[in-house]
Amino acid sequence: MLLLSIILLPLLAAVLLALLGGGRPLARWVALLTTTGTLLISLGIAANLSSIREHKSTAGNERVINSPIQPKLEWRRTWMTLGQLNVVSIQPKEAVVNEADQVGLEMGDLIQQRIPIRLEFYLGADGISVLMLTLTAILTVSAVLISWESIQDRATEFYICLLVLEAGMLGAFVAFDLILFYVFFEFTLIPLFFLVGIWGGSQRQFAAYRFFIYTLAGSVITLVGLVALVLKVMQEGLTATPFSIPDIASALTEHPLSDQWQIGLLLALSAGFVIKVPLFPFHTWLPLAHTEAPTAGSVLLAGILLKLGCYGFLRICLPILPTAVAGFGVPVFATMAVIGIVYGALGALAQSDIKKLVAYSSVSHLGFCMLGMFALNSEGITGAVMQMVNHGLSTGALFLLVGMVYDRYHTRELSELGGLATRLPLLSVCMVFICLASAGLPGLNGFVGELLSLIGMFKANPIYSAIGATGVVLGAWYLLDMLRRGFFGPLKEPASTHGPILDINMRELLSVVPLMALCLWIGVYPKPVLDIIEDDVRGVVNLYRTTTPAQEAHVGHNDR
Amino acid sequence: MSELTPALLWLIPGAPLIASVFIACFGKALLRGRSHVPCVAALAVSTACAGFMMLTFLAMPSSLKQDTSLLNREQIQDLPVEAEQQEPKPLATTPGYDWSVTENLRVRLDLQVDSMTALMLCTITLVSLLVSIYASGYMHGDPGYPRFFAAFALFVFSMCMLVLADNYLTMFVFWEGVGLCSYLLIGFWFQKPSAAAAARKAFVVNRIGDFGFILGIFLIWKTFDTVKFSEVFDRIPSVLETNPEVFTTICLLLFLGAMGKSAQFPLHVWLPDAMEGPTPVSALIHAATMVTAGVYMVARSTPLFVMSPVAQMVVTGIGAITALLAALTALTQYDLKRVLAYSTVSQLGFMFMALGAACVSPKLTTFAVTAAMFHLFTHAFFKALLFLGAGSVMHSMGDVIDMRRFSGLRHVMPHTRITFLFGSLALAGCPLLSGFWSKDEILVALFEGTKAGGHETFFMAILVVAVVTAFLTAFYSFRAYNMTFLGEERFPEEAHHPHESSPTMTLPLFILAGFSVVIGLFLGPTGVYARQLAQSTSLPEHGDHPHSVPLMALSAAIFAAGYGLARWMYVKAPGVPAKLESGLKPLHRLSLNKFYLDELFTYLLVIPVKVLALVCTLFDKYLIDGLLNFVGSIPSMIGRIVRPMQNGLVSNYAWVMLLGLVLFLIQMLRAFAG
Repeated sequence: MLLLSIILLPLLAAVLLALLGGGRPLARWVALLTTTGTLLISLGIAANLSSIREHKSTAGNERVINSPIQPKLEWRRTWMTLGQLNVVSIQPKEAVVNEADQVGLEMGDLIQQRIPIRLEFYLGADGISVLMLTLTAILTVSAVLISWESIQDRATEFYICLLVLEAGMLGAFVAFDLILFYVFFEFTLIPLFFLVGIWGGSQRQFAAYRFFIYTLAGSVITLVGLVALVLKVMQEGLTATPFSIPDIASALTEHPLSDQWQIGLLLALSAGFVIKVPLFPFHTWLPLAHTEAPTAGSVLLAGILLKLGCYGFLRICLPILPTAVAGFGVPVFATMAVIGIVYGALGALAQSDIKKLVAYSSVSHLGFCMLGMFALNSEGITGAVMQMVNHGLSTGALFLLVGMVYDRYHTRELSELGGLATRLPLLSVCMVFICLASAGLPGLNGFVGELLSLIGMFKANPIYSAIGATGVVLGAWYLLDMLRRGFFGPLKEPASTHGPILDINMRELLSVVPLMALCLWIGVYPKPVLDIIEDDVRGVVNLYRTTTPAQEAHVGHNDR
Repeated sequence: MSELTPALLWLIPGAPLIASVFIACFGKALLRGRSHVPCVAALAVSTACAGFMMLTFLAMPSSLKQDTSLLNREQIQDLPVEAEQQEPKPLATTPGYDWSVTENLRVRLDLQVDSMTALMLCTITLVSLLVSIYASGYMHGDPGYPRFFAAFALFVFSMCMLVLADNYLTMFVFWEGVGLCSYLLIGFWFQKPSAAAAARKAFVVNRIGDFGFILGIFLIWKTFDTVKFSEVFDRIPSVLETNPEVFTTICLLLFLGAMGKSAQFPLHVWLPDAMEGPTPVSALIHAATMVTAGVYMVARSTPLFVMSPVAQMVVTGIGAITALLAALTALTQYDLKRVLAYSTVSQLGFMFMALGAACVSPKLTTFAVTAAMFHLFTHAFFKALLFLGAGSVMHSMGDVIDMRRFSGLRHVMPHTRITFLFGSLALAGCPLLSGFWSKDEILVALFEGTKAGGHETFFMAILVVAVVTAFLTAFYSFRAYNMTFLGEERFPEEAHHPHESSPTMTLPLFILAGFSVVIGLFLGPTGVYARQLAQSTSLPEHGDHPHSVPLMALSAAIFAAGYGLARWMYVKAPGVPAKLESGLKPLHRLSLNKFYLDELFTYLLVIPVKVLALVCTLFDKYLIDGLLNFVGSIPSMIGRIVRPMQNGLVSNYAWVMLLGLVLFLIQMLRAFAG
């Protein structure tokens, strides 16, 4: 099965490398082949999915889906059974409290129907996960390519970490089971901890500990939330698969939890996610981790790992806790997102280390993502997912390019660099291109996500949208300022530069050009990607639709 | 014809796009010094297509696709019978592709040509073609030759798409697209720090305007549920019933966008700096075409703007302030290109003054918009001519453009001089030349405002400003001309061999000069342009076409006065300017330093934002991280507190055990009792 193999392939390769050892040449080739293979598998899943979509659209009669989340590809196996569920339980309290005893003692007495409560190994994929899988696979290939020369010592271990990290990220995007999602979500921390702590910069250990402890502290609270959620669902006896996200979501759509429960769960669950995104004011670990991480680490951290936070909101909070999200989440998280947009942009403006600048820009860009998500309408959430993809592409590419500059000059300080366009013309062309994409220039990808996020939020709350839009102005400001200082003007190189400084080479081009091509494609013709996203967003949006008949007629009028 | 239309339409922007991609891919390796060939060829194709389009429009005004939905709103209210009888307007559309579709937001990339677009297309393609021919001479030998023509062609593509857009969002996409090309071309000589800074400034200041534009589009979408021009204009009556206040907000937001792109006060600060780019770029982008996009956008949105007199008066007011301020600044500049840049800003102000006058009465709407668009049209030719002339001077003077360092070039550069003279005459509003006719129409539109419409005093003030500005225009144009071409012959030392430019450069000058001289006379008083433009789907067709002979005489007198004063001060009595300068030192300094607007921007916007940015990083470093470190230290603090409990003394442990036992027993007793 493709879904399983996409996780297993990098894991197996990592195990193989660990067992065989082997030097740098072998390790990097194995890594390159594995990541390329993974990319192919992800494309296979995408093709599989699109054939399903086509089939559905030609068949015409879609099966009625009442869950806000419905993976179109599934692979579920029962892992173990955890006791039984009384389906016809009159007193749900007792059912759970005494569950274990009842099972053991009164097996014969009770005639109520009992279904085993299953813990599953539930993988799935819908359009959103496929996009994220493909993005992960592409960025990991780029990460391997960019580390080709720059990682010299302990290369085998490096690539093992990279592959394990890839498996973790991919796993999180195909997991449709709460426990499985959480396991993968946390699992990514470990390889990244080593990537930062071993192959990072001068302050690497401090950065690695800080990042690890901080994100772990948040996710532990998320774990508490998850456990509470599962127990609550079991207590209410709503579903026999209390770990399956789609099943919980559909069960809770029919029998919503009380408001207090929802708010409490939202607070607990979001704790890990807001840190991961990161939303203001939980962002301070990010610039530090980025500056210290090796290029490949930064690319994957910014490109994929931060998206796990957004993905968590989208997959777990939005579909499962609609009342709390609409009533409590919107004011809280949208405000944090808006502040994050402006704050991150201002932070970026003050930086002189390019990597730190890009890190702060991530805070700003993910603010757009969260802003769109908490617009809770089709445009906003579609824009948010689009922004996840776009930020992965453009920021990933930015980190790649910054890494290339660093490889050449061993500095990222804008005060020591200047006029690099004279020395590195082709690299500068790529840099200008990606900066413009990141600044949201129409025709490139960034615009699509920002536009949809902002327009969605404008419908929900124009003030948030207007404040958020200032981030677009500031975005152009700090990115073009970076270009002006680092790449334009008279050539300035650090005094310690020795050896010939060569322009971007074929390997580096290979790592960044595919990302640029995708940026252009999404910018010029975003419809295919948007179609994929919107199809899956619809279920969630339906939860938040507060339509009057008149509005409904209006919507129908537009569909025509 | 009908089968040909889609191909033709796509070819107009398509040819430059193909050329651009081609040059970008193969320019450096293959084309090198011949990189202009694809660009010029593509622009020739575009010009031919645009011309053909225009001719079909002229020939059969109502033969194309009918579009009855685009009648003007005021007439529906005022004259319902007449509106129904209106003839369908010529409109050609070409389907493109779905750019983005979500539940409520559908954006298609379709092309649409009505008469306003067709006129814009003709201007854009023709001027671009001439400038590209000129540039092939001007940029000869530059290491970035291919890059220049790639960006140049990309600009023409974006500009054509901007005017071909049939909805606000597509317009915005290419609105930013032209901004990108402007950024790339201003920063063309990126090694120069001033060029890099100017490019960034242009982009960021434009972004401030775009911020308003995009919010305006959001509001349009929220209000009308569509961003398509025709549908928006259709739904105006129903929105007018439910939510009439929204129009002012929408229009002001849109106008903010126009202020950025069309360099209106206070967002005009980027345009003079944009002169750091190569001169052909200044001619094409920063004088003839791109900066007029704001005017076009407001003209295109006329049905929205006429719903909000407040917004229209803001448009007129900002236009007047800009026109006057820029003209005053132009008086004292020594950089020839900067004089022209401020003059561009000032002339754009004129156009906005006219656009705002559309609120005077529904009958005057078409006339006012026509005046603005006609001025845009004539201005494109004579301002491009003047810039190219300045470039020719620069070329010959070894890139020196400071007018204090050369003079009397009339013998060395006779062709440049004669064409520049015609350009100056047209700009100054010399009777019978093109600038005269278009400026006169603007004055007439403002004059109508002083007679009726309820804002007579306001328009009186505006008219006075306009007349004063017209005088200043005549003066500074001839100040520049006289300082450059008349007087004793002097060259800067950088000019090794002052010479007339090559025919590739002078030929476009002559063609543009020809246009500057005749185009106004042919199209203005004959009413050809006005009739054609009135066919636009954004304009009511029926309206007054007032004339005013006294005003015409007044503008002729103004021209004569300005011309005479400049002649006296800079030719007959060369000591006067210096005396005036010392006599009016504070005023002179104010004008020379551009009213300190750049400094104002620095102190009111740039520095506060930078300080805020610094505050943010400090906030991060001390407050947030401080709190974090505090939270992080809690576990170890707890550890420190409880550590003494495990000090290894058995008696302590025994006491604790006893305590636990007692508590347990109490609990047990309570349980039994309960």
